[in-house]
Amino acid sequence: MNRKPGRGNRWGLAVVGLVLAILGGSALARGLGAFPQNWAPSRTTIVDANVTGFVARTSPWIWWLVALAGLILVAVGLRWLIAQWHREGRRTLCLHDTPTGVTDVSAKGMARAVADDAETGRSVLRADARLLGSRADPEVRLRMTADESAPLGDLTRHLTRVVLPNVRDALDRDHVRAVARVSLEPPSPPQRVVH
Amino acid sequence: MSSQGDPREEPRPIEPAEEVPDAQDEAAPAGAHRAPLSRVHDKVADRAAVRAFRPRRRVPAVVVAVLLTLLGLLVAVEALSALTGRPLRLAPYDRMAGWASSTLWSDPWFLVGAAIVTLIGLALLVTAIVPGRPRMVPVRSGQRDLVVGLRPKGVTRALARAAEQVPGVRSARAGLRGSTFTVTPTTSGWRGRDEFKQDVRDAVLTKLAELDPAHPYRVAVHVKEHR
Repeated sequence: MNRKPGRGNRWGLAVVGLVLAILGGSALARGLGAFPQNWAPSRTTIVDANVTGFVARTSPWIWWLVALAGLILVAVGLRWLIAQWHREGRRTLCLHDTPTGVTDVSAKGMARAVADDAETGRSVLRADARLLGSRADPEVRLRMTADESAPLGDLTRHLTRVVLPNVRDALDRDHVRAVARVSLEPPSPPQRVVH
Repeated sequence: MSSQGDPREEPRPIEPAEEVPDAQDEAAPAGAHRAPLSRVHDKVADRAAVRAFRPRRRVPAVVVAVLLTLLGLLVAVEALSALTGRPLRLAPYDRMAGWASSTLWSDPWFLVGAAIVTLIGLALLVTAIVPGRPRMVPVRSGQRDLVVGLRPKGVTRALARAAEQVPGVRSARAGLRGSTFTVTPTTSGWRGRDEFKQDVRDAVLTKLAELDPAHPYRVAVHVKEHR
């Protein structure tokens, strides 16, 4: 499964949360006098002579460092935002890459074939597919609507015995991961056409 | 007149077993997860199925990423503009510096601010660490390469329909909260409540066992009488 965005979000939130908790907790501890008073006294101003002296000693290069830190924050923030909307879909998938030539298949066409294959299942009402991942690690994502009155085993058997083997054959891979999101719906009532 | 079922009644958990016996196996306890076919469950595949549909924390991630970007932009622009001799002064730095130079670390308002920052940090940490409930109902596929999830709405509708097949049920509703499916059948009250409740539970459990979820779910039945 491609869990990269989810994992990245959790890592990002954990790092930001940890930094905020450490900074806030340290400030709180200092204000409450929890640190040794000869090292971090609570009865001094937040910006005292030590701080102003340090800034005066290190100017101007400290401001270049601050600017660099700001730019790094912008880059990290933008990268994180882009990752939320980055589409993992591919336009083509390389099947063979040999010195004599390269075989590419259209990911859209392949996905349509997979969806058509999935729709041949008895309990499947509708299916849609997307092809993701790399040549070495392809992944199929299916969105399906299945008849709620049919045993779900029919659907999973159809996927494992028909759809996935066909995808594996087509992509020439031993393993192709697949994620199917299934909506169960009542079958549409039989329609009678009167002429 | 309608009455709600006894809310104190403990919902029964459906714990997936290592190997599920045949439906004909009468030794299975009432309310336990029953599947029509015998098959060995793959715990690795079950975990993968549950993990695949966990929430991705997109909303808090977007909020934090936007704030991080804006903060970085402000810091970089202000520092660079000051270094080039044309400070933009988008934020009131002189007032901020004056406040920081005259406020003690032990100032109550500063302590409140520090406590809020700590709490926000801890909240973000909890959001990151607690995995969250899957947005789909993960079901067993029998293969590690294949992960199948059912949309909760369809599952609750299927369970309500299963409950409606029980004699005496006029209509039924089902919902999913956390790991508990709550089924509320409405009856005209011509059958004994306990027997009726048991039949509904059996019907719902049978349907749920058919779906074969990879994650344990509980089923709670609250009977509504409508005379």
